[in-house]
Amino acid sequence: MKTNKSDLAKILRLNGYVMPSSDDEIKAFEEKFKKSYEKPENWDNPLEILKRGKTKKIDLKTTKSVPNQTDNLAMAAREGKSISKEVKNKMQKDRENGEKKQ
Amino acid sequence: MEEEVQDLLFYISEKETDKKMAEKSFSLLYKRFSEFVFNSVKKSIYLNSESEINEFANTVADNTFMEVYNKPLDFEFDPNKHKTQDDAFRVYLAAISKNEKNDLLRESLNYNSKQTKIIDDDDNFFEPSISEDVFEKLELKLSTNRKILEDALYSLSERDRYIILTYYDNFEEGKNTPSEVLDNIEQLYGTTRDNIRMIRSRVKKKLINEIESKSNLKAV
Repeated sequence: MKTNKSDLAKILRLNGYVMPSSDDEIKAFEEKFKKSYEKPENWDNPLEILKRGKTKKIDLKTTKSVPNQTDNLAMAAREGKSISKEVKNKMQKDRENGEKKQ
Repeated sequence: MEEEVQDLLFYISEKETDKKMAEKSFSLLYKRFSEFVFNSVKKSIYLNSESEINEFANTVADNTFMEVYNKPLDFEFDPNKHKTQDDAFRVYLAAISKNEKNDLLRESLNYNSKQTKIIDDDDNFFEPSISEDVFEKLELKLSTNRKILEDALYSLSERDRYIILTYYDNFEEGKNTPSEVLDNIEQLYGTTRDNIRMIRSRVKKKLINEIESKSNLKAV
């Protein structure tokens, strides 16, 4: 099967889900969002940026706490939703792998 | 009449001899382009909270303009590639802010890059393609109905959506995904490179199926 990764990237860029990078993508982005643009923090005093210089690091929390697919499947099972045989096998395999690590 | 970008950048480059003029030019550039930089970064970063997203987008925007102030003569305008200097400068700013975004993520997540290069598999069985005519129809359909794409994206788990959007945010046609981008995704979302590849394939298939079923188009 032929692969074409760029198609989805282009669709996402043209629709503002990922950063636009070419003339046409930026034009499409501005047409869609310019009216609702928010102003950056230093809008009224851009020279503050020059006084402060570059910021190399900020305090970021990782999103490791977002449940992964297996967690979601386990949740579905707890809520009584039907789970296919294939998915059940995957859950079993994941559990076995988890036990091996302990 | 607005001053041309290259003139303003020239005044900035003369900051040692005329600081006031350099600062005035910097402020004019900032007022003209900072909303685009801030909003494009803000819309394309997926973090834990709105306040984190705002802080991140503000920092990337500030660092991007600081880079312009430090290296004003790095920008070149090619009239064969862009209609106006403003158009060319937006593309230039988008490239700088993408680098600043990845640098800030790497530094803030505080890890050592593995420095290993991943080769994207070009023949992934799970990755469906879209024919050119269907892509054109999809593009047209989605440009008038953003909700179809939105529904498809929100049919994914939050984690998969973040991973796929961060991956495609750094995708460049014909180039391998930079190692540091994959490192950032691994750290940020607690996943592995193999998982990123599998999620990407699974999500793309799901998205295309979802889009097809709602827009009555057949992709492959």
